[in-house]
Amino acid sequence: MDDIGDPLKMTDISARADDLSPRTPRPARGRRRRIVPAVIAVGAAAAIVVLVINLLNGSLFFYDASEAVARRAELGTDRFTLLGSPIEGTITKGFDGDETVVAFSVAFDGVDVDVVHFGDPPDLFKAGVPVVLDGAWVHEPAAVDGFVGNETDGWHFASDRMRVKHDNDYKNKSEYDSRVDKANKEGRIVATSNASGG
Amino acid sequence: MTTSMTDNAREVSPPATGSRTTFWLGVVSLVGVVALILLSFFVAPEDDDQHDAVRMIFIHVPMAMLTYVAFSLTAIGSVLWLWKRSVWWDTVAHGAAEVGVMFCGLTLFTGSIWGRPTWGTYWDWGDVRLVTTMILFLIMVGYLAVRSLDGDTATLATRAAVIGIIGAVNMPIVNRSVTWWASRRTLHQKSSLTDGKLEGLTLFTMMFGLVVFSIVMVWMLIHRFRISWLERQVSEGDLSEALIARRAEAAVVSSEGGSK
Amino acid sequence: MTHLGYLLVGWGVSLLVVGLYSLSLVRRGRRLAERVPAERRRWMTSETPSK
Repeated sequence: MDDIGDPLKMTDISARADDLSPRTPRPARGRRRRIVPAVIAVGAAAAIVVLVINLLNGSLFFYDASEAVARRAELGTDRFTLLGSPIEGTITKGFDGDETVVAFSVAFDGVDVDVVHFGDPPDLFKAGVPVVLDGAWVHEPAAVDGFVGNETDGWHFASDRMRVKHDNDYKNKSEYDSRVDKANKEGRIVATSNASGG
Repeated sequence: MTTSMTDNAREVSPPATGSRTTFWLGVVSLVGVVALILLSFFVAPEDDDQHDAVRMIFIHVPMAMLTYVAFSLTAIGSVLWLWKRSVWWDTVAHGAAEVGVMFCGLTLFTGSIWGRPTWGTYWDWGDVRLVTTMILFLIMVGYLAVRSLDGDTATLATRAAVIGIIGAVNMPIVNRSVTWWASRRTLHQKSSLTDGKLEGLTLFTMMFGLVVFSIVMVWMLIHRFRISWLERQVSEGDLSEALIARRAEAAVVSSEGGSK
Repeated sequence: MTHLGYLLVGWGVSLLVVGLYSLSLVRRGRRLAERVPAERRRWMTSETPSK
C-alpha cells in the first residue's frame, strides 16, 4: 500500500493550529459555490422525507388472491394491489374499442380470482409467473369473449396496471439439457439424472 | 522529508495522480471490461423467461454489490474520523462516497432499465427495495454536498461522517428488504446469489463482472484518494501563502508604528 | 437478440458514466498535481506515466 501515500506522514489539520497565529479566512469561493451544495443537501433531505412518508403510507402493498377474497367486504370498491399467479389455459385476449383487454384467472394459496386487465400486459406475462395488479373488485362476472374463468362467485378484479413479479430462478433449459446429454454421452454422469435445471 | 527523497521525487514524479500500480490496474480494468462485454453478450446463455434481458444482471448486480462495499468504506472511514480523528480514513471515506454514489446511481439506472422489460415498469414509488435504494443514494449525495460546503474542513468532515454512518444504517434495510417485504411491498426478486439460483455461465459471468468492476473501483479509489490529498496540499499551500502575506503586512504595520 | 434497445441503453450509459468519471479523475489529478510541488506528491514511486 506504499502506493496510496504515507498515512503516518499526513498531519492532522487540527494539529497545524500552532502555525496559525493570525488565522486568515479562506479565499472566497464565490456565491454559487456556497449555495449549490446547500441547495442539493436540503433538496436531498426533503426528498428523503417525502419518500419515507410515501413508503410508510404503503403506496404499494399487495394482498394475495386469498387475502383479497377474504377481505372483499372490507375492501369494497377501493383500489388495492393484488398478487397472484396466472393459471395455465385461462389467458384470453380481447379488445375494448382500441384498447387491449386480457382476461385470466390468478391463484394464490388455492384461491382463484378472475381478472380483467385493461391495457397491454408486460412482455414477461405468462401463466405461472406471478403478477401484481392495481385495480378494484367489480361485482359482475368477467365479460370477455371466449373467457371462461375459474371463479364463479360473480365477482372479478378489474385492473389497469400490471407488473410481473419475476423470481430469482435463472435458467436456460436447452443449454442445461444439452450439457447433461453431452455429459451422458461422454459417460461422465453414471447415475440416471432427470432433474431439470433450477 | 529528507533532501534525497525530495530530489528523487522531483526527478520522477509526473504531475498527475497515476503511478505504476494504477497504470496496471487501468490496463487490467480495460481488458476486463472488454472481456465482460464479450462474455455477457456472446457467451452467457439467454434466460428461458427473460430471454436476453437477463444480460442486465451482469452489470446491475456487480454495481449493486460494489455500492455496498464503497458505502461501507465510507462508514468505516467516518467512524475512524470521529473516533481517532484519522485524516487518512476521512480521505478514504470521502473518496469512497463519491465512487459509491456513482455506482449506486448506476445500480438504480440499470435496475430501472431492466425492470421495464421484466416487470413491465421502470419504477414504482411504493416498492421498498427501489425506494430504500433511492434513499441511500440521496443520503450519500447529501454527504457529498455537505463536504463541498464552504467552511472549516474538520467541522464539515465531522458533519459528513455522521451522514455517512446514517447511510450505512440504511444499507441492511436495503439489502434485506427483498426478504422482509417479499410478498408485500416489493417487485424485486430475492438475492439470486445467496439463494443459489444461478447456474453455469450465468453465475460465472456475474462473478467475473464483480471482479472486473472491483478492480475498476480500486483504481478509482486510489486516484480519488490522491486527489483529496492534493486538494489538502493545495489548500494548505494557499494558507501558508496567506500567512506569509499577513505576516509581511503585520511587519510593515509594526515598523510603521515604530517609526512614528 | 431480444430487448436489444434496453441492453444497449443500460450497458452503454453505464460504461459511458464509468469512463467519463475515470477520465475526470485523471484530469482533476493532473490539474491539482501541477499546483503541488513534486516533493509533496509523496506517493509517486515510479516513472510510468499514468493511464
